[in-house]
Amino acid sequence: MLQDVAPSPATARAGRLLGDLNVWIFVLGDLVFFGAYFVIFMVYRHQETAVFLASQRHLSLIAGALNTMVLLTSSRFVALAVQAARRGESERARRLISYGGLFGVAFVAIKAFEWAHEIGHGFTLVRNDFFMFYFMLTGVHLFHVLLGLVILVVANRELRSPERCRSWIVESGAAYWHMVDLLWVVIFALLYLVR
Amino acid sequence: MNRLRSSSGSRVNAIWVLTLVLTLGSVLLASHHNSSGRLTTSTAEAMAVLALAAVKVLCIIWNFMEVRDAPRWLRHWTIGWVGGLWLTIVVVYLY
Amino acid sequence: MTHAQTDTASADQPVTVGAGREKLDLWICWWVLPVFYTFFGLIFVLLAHVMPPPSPELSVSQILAFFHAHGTTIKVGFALLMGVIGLGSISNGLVAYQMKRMSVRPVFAYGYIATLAVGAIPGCLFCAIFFLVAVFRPDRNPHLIALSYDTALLTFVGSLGCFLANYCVFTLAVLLDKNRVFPRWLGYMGVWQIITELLAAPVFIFKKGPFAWNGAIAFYEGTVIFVVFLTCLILQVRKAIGNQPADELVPD
Repeated sequence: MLQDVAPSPATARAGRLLGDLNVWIFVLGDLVFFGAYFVIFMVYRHQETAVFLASQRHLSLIAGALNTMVLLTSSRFVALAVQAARRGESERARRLISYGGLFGVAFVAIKAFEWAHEIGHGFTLVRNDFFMFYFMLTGVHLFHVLLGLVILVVANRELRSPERCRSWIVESGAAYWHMVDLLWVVIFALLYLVR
Repeated sequence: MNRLRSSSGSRVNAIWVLTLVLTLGSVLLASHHNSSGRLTTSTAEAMAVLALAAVKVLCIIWNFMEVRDAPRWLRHWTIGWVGGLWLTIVVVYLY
Repeated sequence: MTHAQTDTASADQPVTVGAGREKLDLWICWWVLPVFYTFFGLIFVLLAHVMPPPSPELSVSQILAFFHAHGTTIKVGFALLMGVIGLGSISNGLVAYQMKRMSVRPVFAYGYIATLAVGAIPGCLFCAIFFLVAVFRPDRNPHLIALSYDTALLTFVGSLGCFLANYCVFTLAVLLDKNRVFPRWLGYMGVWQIITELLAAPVFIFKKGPFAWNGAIAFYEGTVIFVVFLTCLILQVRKAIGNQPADELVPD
């Protein structure tokens, strides 16, 4: 049974990590690297503002917004799953992770439709610098999502046997998934919304 | 059973709803600008969109990722990342 | 102590110097790592001027000028590389040896060696050889020299497939390993490397911008992340050797 060890007042002040230090090393590094990608994007945008503005209009705000809400919802399920797992409600936790994963799959499907639509209209990776960034950034993010789905499956499996469940797998997986969610929030803002 | 401050179902749901609302808000802002027909930048709108995105990101970090309850170094680090990145983006945008 | 805390804690055990003599062979091999990569940096950065790479947009005459300006250091640097390249094999062998100490089957160690052995050819040697060919006869047909230039730099930055496979093998092995030879965060860093390799794929498409072979993302950021990873790997191999019992029987 996943249990929270009752923290002493000292521990409570010191704080605890969702997952462990290992996954946070990964998360913090990934945030820095993506931050650099975002800044590089903004620099190129600054140099070719007209092209970027015109190209941006061809993106589907609806698809982007839908994807944002889908990923936020999946994060919600994963966050609830972690809480359920901590309370020892393994079955509920597994269900919640599955819902989170389903919404993750929905994200991939919407993104696939979106890409197909854009490519079908001639907006490809080589169309101009905006679409180069668009496909590369959303592509690298999509890779993160696909990896995240694998991680969610691993977390789900881990919860199958509550006695031997390693909480760090479930919690680390959750931390990773939330990172994927927040990266998309920034991508959505920079690519789709910022004019 | 210990409850972390960020660890409550109602808080998760409240944050979730908030982020959805902020998403819709920023989309409305962007589509409003679209419908005005001009292909120009809009500093006010961009700053608003970025601000809303920052709030959403902080919601995710603080609550979903439970950084509220994390050691001080992580709290500082994540706020620093958001602050540093947003500042850089805004500076580049306004340059 | 939670499992997770033990994981990072075990990576912080002090290296016992006294017991080092029984592992002298391992320590000699370990020293090859920083020595080889120092040579690598010296050669590719200072002598051959491959890191950072010159632009894919250079005209034929500019390419000729580049080779003319740097011909001597290219020859010296890459001749030196031919001499020290074998050290790279020892480095890879040492990491693979540590992987054989893992609880996962040695398939991963074999995969690690194989992917880097293959990867070294496009990822390192092609660049050296084609640059050496380019400067060997400066009065050769300029278009052939430009072809050498493209081949060298495209393979150097674009040979990502082998290294992608290498990082997949490494990451999976570290994460599945119950013996905790390497800490889990090092395995997670492998994912960063996989991502940088994916972001280097467009070098075959773009001649300028962040995804060209000299691009801010495909080259510069990728190199920074690689240096971080390599440093951590070298230090963790050192810790692993230090933690390794001198009389440990490693499966063949």
